[in-house]
Amino acid sequence: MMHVRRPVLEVQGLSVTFPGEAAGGFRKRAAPFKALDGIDLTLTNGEALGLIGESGSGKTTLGKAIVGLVPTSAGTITLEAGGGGADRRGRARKVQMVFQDPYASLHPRQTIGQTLAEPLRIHKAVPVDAIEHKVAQLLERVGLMPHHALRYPQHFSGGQRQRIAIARAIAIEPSMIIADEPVSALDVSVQAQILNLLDDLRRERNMAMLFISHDLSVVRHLCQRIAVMYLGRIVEVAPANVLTRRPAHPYTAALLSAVPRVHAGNASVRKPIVLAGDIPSHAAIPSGCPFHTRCWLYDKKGKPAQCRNARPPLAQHDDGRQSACFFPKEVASA
Amino acid sequence: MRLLEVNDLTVTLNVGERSATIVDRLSLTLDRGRCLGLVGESGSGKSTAAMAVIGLLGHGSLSARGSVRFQGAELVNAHAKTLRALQGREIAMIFQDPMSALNPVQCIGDQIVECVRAHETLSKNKAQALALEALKRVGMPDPPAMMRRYPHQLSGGQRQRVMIAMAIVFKPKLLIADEPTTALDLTIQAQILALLKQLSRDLDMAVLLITHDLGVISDMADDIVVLYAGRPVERGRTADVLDHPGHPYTRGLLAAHPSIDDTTERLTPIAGMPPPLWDRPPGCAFAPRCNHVQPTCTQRVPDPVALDTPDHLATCILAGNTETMAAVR
Ligand SMILES: Nc1ncnc2c1ncn2[C@@H]1O[C@H](COP(=O)(O)OP(=O)(O)OP(=O)(O)O)[C@@H](O)[C@H]1O
Ligand SMILES: Nc1ncnc2c1ncn2[C@@H]1O[C@H](COP(=O)(O)OP(=O)(O)OP(=O)(O)O)[C@@H](O)[C@H]1O
Ligand code: SF4
Ligand code: SF4
Ligand SMILES: [Mg+2]
Ligand SMILES: [Mg+2]
Repeated sequence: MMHVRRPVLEVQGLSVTFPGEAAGGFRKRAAPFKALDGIDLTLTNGEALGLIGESGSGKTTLGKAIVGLVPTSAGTITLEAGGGGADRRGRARKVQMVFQDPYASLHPRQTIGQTLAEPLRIHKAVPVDAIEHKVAQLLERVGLMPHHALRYPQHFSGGQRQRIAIARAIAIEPSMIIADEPVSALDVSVQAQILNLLDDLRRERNMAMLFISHDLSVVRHLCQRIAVMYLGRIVEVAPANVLTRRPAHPYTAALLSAVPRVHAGNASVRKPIVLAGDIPSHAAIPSGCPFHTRCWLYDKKGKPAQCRNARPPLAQHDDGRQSACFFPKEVASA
Repeated sequence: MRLLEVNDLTVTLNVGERSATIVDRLSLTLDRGRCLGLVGESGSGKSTAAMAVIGLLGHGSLSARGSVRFQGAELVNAHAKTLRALQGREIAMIFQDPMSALNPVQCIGDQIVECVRAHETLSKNKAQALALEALKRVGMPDPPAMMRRYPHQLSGGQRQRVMIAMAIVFKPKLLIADEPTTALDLTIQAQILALLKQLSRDLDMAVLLITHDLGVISDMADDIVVLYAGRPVERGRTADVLDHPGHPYTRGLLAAHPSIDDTTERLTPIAGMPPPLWDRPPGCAFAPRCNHVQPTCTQRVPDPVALDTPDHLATCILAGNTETMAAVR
């Protein structure tokens, strides 16, 4: 089946500002900080985009901003027109989120059937007398049994609970799913089952998927494009195979080299780029290029002043990728 | 003499009438300067096995049988005094979550000094000097300033460095690291793994590395033991186990593991999930999930059989039989 590619999500210049946390010590309140700063992103139907970056880089905040769970301070989020209005409920019909922790995200005192029926009822997705049948269908689609509808979440393993959370997310047939670390809490053998399920659902429903993860290998397998975040900004976006073979940002290159690889053979040959120091806090984002305090290319090039003084924009390159580095061509050759 | 020799270590959990075998006949050996990786999924008994090795099961509901010899001395059911003399000095341990192991209201320096003096009667100055030296060794920036900081003023990676510093103050011969990088970011994980490698080399220290991450194991370990439902299913040199896995479970794990360099998009999951430890299926515990299951598999627990080399063992009835092995691959 051929599908026309149309944008499902367009994010432009999106920023999210949080009030400073009450920091320990004597200071009462830290200054407000930008958890997201000028994010541009598009997603088309049927496309899986992987969002990677280290802890605190803003991945979850971006996901929550898109579904309307955190207020934005600048920029626009445009979700595909059609079904549903611009309010919260309308937005929910277009985009649904699956969270990392399958233990926390299901109501412990609701049966699985009640949990799955809820969105169907609220959104009047099917006639009331068809809800039971639809719940059974959903359970079967995610690899569970219709009689599981009568059970409570504590009867299920982590992998099974994640299947239930996925069933709930697809119940009202959204055009897009945001999956926030959906397999991080699961074991490898079960993780692959869930990843394959998500991949199948995306294909058969032509859904867009924003897949948030810190695991590059998982993202590489599941997504056609990958966006890399650092300190609340996107530093590189490219097709998955391009980005993993020839990164155009030194941070992406460092992440790739830090992925522990199976097979002793090549592990001994490969020398990882070990970045010095820690990820700076949002309260003290370095001037110029925010990555320059840890950048190996900056060091290698003799610390050019440009990197300290100016912030490299997320620029479009001829091969269809975007990178926020002044020297994208020198990354892969290093 | 081997530094560590574990033979048929078995840990049982007794709660009221119920009893479960958490670790079932684990055997391994480890020499100075080497790294052994203990890999297995959540609940497979890795942490329990490590606690049993270091003699930390306590007097609760868990009890150990079998043998753990450290430099020739038996540790299973050894006197508490013998164990205390080893713990923290000759054998040290680090855990996944450094935050819960640190006291939030005491500065780092005081905590290390206290820990040092718990193991050896030393003047405060002497202990402080040891603490500084250890912080330097783990690559902490500005150690004297770090001594005055509190845990919440450190990043996750720095906290793990503090835990490692505490562990290596007395230059232990064996370091047990239980998921030391699981809570850390990729680039910080790379730093900590590089540090562990360097310390192992510099101090000629053996490392028993516990992880569920095959990539980390592949990067770090000289030898591997794979646990499934509390039982060792395969053991051998890292390259042998990962390049020619002999047990269907090991092969299944490798097939389910997404690789950054591999372009095949489809992963091959293992159907089902591991059994609860108090209700293992009869015979081979992997049988309900195994694609090669034979009628005899469920009759008794298979014994370890040598594969391509005498040190590469798999606990599967197909192991060692070249014809059936070829069919499995
Ligand atoms: N509600 C909030 N109030 C204040 N600060 C917040 C809030 N939510 C997130 N933050 C902060 O915003 C930054 C980005 O957080 P976010 O959870 O989006 O990161 P992440 O990339 O998802 O990280 P992780 O990989 O750890 O999940 C962090 O510094 C975080 O502490
Ligand atoms: N003191 C105890 N009381 C009850 N059950 C226990 C106790 N210690 C361990 N167990 C059980 O033994 C099994 C093995 O636990 P263990 O923590 O050793 O696994 P693990 O391989 O380290 O798992 P993880 O990867 O999740 O850390 C689990 O099912 C656990 O619930
Ligand atoms: S602009 Fe300079 S500091 Fe920033 S990533 Fe590129 S080389 Fe590094
Ligand atoms: S003993 Fe039988 S069931 Fe167990 S792993 Fe081998 S072939 Fe599979
Ligand atoms: Mg997050
Ligand atoms: Mg454990």
